[in-house]
Amino acid sequence: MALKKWLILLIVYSIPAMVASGQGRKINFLEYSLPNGLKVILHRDISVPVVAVTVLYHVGSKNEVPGRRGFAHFFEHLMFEGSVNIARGQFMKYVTDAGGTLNANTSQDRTFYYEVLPSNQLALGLWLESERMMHARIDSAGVNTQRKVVKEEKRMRFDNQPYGSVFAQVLKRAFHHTPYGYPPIGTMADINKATLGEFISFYKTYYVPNNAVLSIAGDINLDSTKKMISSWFGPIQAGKIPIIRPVVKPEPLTDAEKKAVIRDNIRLPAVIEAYRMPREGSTDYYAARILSVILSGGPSSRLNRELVDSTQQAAYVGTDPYFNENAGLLINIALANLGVSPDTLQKMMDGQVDSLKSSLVSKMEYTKVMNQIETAFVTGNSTMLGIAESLANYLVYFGNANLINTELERYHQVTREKIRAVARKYLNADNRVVLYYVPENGLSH
Amino acid sequence: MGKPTIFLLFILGLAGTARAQVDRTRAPQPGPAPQINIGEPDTFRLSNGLRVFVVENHQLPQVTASLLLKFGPVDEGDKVGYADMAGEILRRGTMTRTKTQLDEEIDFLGGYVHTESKGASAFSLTRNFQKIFAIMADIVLHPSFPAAELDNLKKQTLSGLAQQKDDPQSILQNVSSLLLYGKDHPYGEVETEQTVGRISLDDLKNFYQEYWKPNVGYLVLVGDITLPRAKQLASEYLGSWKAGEVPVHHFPYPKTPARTFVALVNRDASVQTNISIANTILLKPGDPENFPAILMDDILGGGSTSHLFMDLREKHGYTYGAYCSLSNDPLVGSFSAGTAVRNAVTDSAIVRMMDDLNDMRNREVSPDELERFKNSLSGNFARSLENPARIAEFARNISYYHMPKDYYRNFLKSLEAVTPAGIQQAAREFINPQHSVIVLVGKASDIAPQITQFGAIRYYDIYGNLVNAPSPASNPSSVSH
Repeated sequence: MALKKWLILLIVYSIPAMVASGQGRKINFLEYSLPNGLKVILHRDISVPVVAVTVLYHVGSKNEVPGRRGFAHFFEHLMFEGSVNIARGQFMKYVTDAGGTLNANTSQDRTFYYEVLPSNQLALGLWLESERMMHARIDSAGVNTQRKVVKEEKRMRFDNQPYGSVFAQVLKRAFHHTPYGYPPIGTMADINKATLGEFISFYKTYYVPNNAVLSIAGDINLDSTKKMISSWFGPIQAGKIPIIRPVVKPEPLTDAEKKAVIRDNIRLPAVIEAYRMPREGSTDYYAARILSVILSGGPSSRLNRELVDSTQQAAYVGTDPYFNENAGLLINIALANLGVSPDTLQKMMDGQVDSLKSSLVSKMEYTKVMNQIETAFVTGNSTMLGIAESLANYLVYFGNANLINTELERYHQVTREKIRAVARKYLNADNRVVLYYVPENGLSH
Repeated sequence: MGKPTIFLLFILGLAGTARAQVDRTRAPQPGPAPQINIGEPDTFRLSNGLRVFVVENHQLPQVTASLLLKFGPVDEGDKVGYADMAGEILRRGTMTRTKTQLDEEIDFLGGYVHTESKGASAFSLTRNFQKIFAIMADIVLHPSFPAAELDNLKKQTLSGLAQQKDDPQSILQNVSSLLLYGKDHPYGEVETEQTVGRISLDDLKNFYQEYWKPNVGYLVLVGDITLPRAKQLASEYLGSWKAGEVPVHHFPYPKTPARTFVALVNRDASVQTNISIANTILLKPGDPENFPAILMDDILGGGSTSHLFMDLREKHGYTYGAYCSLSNDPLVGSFSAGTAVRNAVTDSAIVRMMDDLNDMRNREVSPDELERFKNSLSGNFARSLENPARIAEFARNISYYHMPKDYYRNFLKSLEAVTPAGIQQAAREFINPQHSVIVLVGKASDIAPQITQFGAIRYYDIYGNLVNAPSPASNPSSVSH
């Protein structure tokens, strides 16, 4: 449905898949490190002859230096250019010729690469990933082409899309003056400035085994896979340049940042309320995720029932729990029906948020939301790629890959009182950014 | 599950896996080819004619049900949108449940139930599946068509239409379909404020009563369920559904344009031009021509190693992606190539695309390239089986489209048999650069002066109505190129 497309645009760029965990099926895995610091996670599942080979580098847009917004994502494109042993243009061919698929994406915290292959092509995946970790081909030909491609990506996904600037406008205000203050796609001006020398230095700093997790899931033999990994990745030297991990500590919001009216090439006004939240994995995090389900999870959720069904003021509502390594946001979004003003919409959204602070959710609603969360967890691990990515995420961000099996318990520990307490602590007017997107004919942007 | 059929996916050499020393200078050899098992789902029919397909997969404690009805397409005349709306209103009330009650019950079970014009689906954990399935059946058999919900649906549809007016891809699709199939063909109909305004509750009820019959229904159950359980659920909850005759309509094959023309939809805010080059094709599901056609489409524009992507993105940097797609259909299918490029290179991008399309027709691909794409498609096919619903889809498609029974069982073998000459023949048959519709959605003042070489430009509004050329925009573009 067309209405939902813009929301997907908002989130697709930056949210690692964190929906997966398991109660229905225990995910057994092996976790160890190579002497060069590479962390390895292996999960064996022989039900289908495929294997997902993934590498997570713990570097994202928040590691960029000032004046180079979009650099980490630009660099991600260069990682497909080949290596000392892989000619330009051949990297993708090796994978598709083997009947596999591949891609990558960059968030504010990390960059994630993957190949999904027939299981007899495991060695190919290991060769490709170890080649670009060891000695990627980073040259001016690649930089020049990919600079154009990245700019077209930005135009297509953001600049040429109605509501395409929502994410950037939210981050700019919610995380003012911090490395979280802009989306990973960056800006045209900064993309234009990036130089070959900077890319090489970035590669030597961050694309090192001691800053990566190799996570593999699928139809593999554990012993032989371990041997192969040590052959392909063992000879890669550990990085020697110290890795700076910026700790993002957002300052209190100023009055000027709380509310903005954005004119866009749109017909339906939208209201976006982004509440600042703690980082993922923190004690309040689980309550915050439950709040997002109460607000917008399913047609009986509060915003859906009140704004879309009962009063028919909104064409669409959604809640996006956007959580990162150092900070998070709970973003409520409502798209007005024709003729409805953003003020009306905001009052209704605030009414729903306020009721979460004034009274406890009923036992019935609490059970319903827990049932919804349980279904999502139990059924989340349905692909090898999803399992490999979840394992890596849990290890890097939560320090414990086994949360893939046990994280649901943490949700169950959140009481109704805790939910209300977290709503009271964070869902306040002085802790949020409010954006009104309003139609403007003529030149915008 | 019935007897699995076993295939060898790759006929490739053996190689050792564990080696202390590795040769980094070349790609490692693959291990022994894995076996691909394509199971046969269990099937049965209820006495009212409903066909049921069951695929057992106990990996996760979940079950999905999906119902698909075979009819249409339906000519919606001056009320375009009513078939979709009829599908949506079913989920909004039954004789014994209001929408609010349905929402509460379904969410409480942690599952979902969706409906659309040609079917319904439901999903939940195994332990709640009987209840979810019962609700889906109630929705399918006893919808109440609440008048208030029609109002709400109309309001939401109008909001959706308003939003689409600024979405370049929606505009491209609407105008392209209209120009390709014509406004008198169901595939070319465009939903507007006017057509939605004319829809009445009776239109929705009549549609449901005419077309929603079990004898044209295909029910697929996939997941943590057994055959006896499936039989019990289907007959208990859908056994009372009454069979009936469903009308069949015929539509003439759309006219092909005498020569290729450019349709331009002006969008002043655009910083990219969305481009589509399309023609209709005659290719039905199950036809043997599908195999060379699928391969040809993949070589030309299926992915990141295909001609269009390598040319427009990797060689020229015009775009983030360029692809083509070929879709078969019992009535009329289509071939289309599409991309989005910055305004300044609109003409060059069209030239490149047309060259790539013509090249596909004029030149045989090398056996080596064909081999690589065969491997690629075989692998896609194998990986798609990671989703157990695929096996059910195969069986359902065979029945729904009257395809050869061994179509999917022989899928890999049929791909393997395609020759370079077969690819070229498919290109000549299905790509028609001389008789195509080129639709551009973009900033006319930037792009119109560039594209005169493609013949007279026809201007259209976002609904596909012919309009006059827009007057030149007074403001220069604010975008850096």
